[in-house]
Amino acid sequence: MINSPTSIKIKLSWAWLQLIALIIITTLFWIGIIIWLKDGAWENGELPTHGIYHMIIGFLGCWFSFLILFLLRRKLNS
Amino acid sequence: MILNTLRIRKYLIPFFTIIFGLSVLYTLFSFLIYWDPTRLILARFKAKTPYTYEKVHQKFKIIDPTSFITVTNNEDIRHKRRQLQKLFWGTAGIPYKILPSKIQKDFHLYPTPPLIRPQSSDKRSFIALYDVIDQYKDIKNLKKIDRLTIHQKPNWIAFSGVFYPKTSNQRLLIYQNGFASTYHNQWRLIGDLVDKGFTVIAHNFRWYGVNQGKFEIKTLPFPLRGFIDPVIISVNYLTKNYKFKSIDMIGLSAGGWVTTIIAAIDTRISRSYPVSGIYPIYLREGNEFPLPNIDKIITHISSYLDLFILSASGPDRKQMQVFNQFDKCCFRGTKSSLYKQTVSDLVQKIGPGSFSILLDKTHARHKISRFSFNQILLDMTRND
Repeated sequence: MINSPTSIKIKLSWAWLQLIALIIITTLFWIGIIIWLKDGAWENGELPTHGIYHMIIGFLGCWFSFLILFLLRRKLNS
Repeated sequence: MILNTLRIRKYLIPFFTIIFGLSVLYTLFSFLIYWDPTRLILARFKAKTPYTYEKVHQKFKIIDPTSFITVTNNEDIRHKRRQLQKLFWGTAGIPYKILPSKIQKDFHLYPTPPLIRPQSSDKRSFIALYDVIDQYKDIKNLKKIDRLTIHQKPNWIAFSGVFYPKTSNQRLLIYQNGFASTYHNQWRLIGDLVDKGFTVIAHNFRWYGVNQGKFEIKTLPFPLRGFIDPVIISVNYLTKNYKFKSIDMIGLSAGGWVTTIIAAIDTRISRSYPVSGIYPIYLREGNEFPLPNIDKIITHISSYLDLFILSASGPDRKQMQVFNQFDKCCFRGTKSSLYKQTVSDLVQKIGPGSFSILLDKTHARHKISRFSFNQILLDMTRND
């Protein structure tokens, strides 16, 4: 069951989905940074500084967990 | 080895997949909640009734604003100003001769910590100029910062910062902050104004920053002085020592309320911009009554609509009120449309002068947005 072609297909899809989500979030994060900088990088800007703090936490969480998942998968494959 | 593989497959991968998913959602929602355009959509979506932001309730529409207006000509304006001045100072006229009790020149070079600090865990509301002096040093056109102390012994003491430009346009801009923060919250706007050549004098609201004193209305002979004297006295000092082509004033929130009162009584202020801070009493709702006892004292003499006319009337005088339509705090919606035309027509009829309203639809916060700020800058521009 574990090694069935369907299961491999699903596993591949999950990895791709995570990669796509990471690309979207990374792009969104940098868009946020550009908006924040363009309006003066301050609390009363179009995207306030504390909003950027929240985005940094989420962004780091994404990259950290994605990296761990990547390493775990590599270990499984080896 | 097999046990290890099983543990990875069964526990670790699902665990980190969940962490990853939550992090994705957290980043996404942080952006949607905090970015002004998407925050605005969410605020409109969450509104309980269409009267929160979009529509004006019938109960307001049936009230005729002219029933609150008693000022219809220049003689009425002069008479009302004298009455208000008597209310504030006990005698008709502005106390032009009172000066700050202490002037600390070049405060950016020799900052001194405040002697007394209010006891509060709310750091945002009680920041001193001393604490944040470094953030102003990056303003390119800043020549120096002075700190003024205005002391009405033994009742209250207020502090304000004067930001002088290297290249000046010889215009003075007064910024008055409101509740629950200090003018340092507007450091970027102050910097932009200084870079454009304005001399800026910034004030905190009566009990914010390191302002101290008695604020009980019943114990003070002239309780309104604590709100307006710091501005009047700082203008006295600056006009005595420097020449300005114009004096304009911007106020946010309760600072907008102060701006309207000062502009109504002191004709030295030519253009005034209260932002999210004032509606006539009959249009106010919820938390739009921050100082009900003070309102009672003022409205005993003059309605707020009268004050708007006083603020806007006179040669080269103008008032542009700014409202954030989707403000989640207060003074929101389009209720200003109910008195805009009446006040504007009356100001035109009395002449000269101008009254207008700017509705900011670009965000859902209680702030001076970049859009509003640019419109105010445009409005302050003169050809001379």
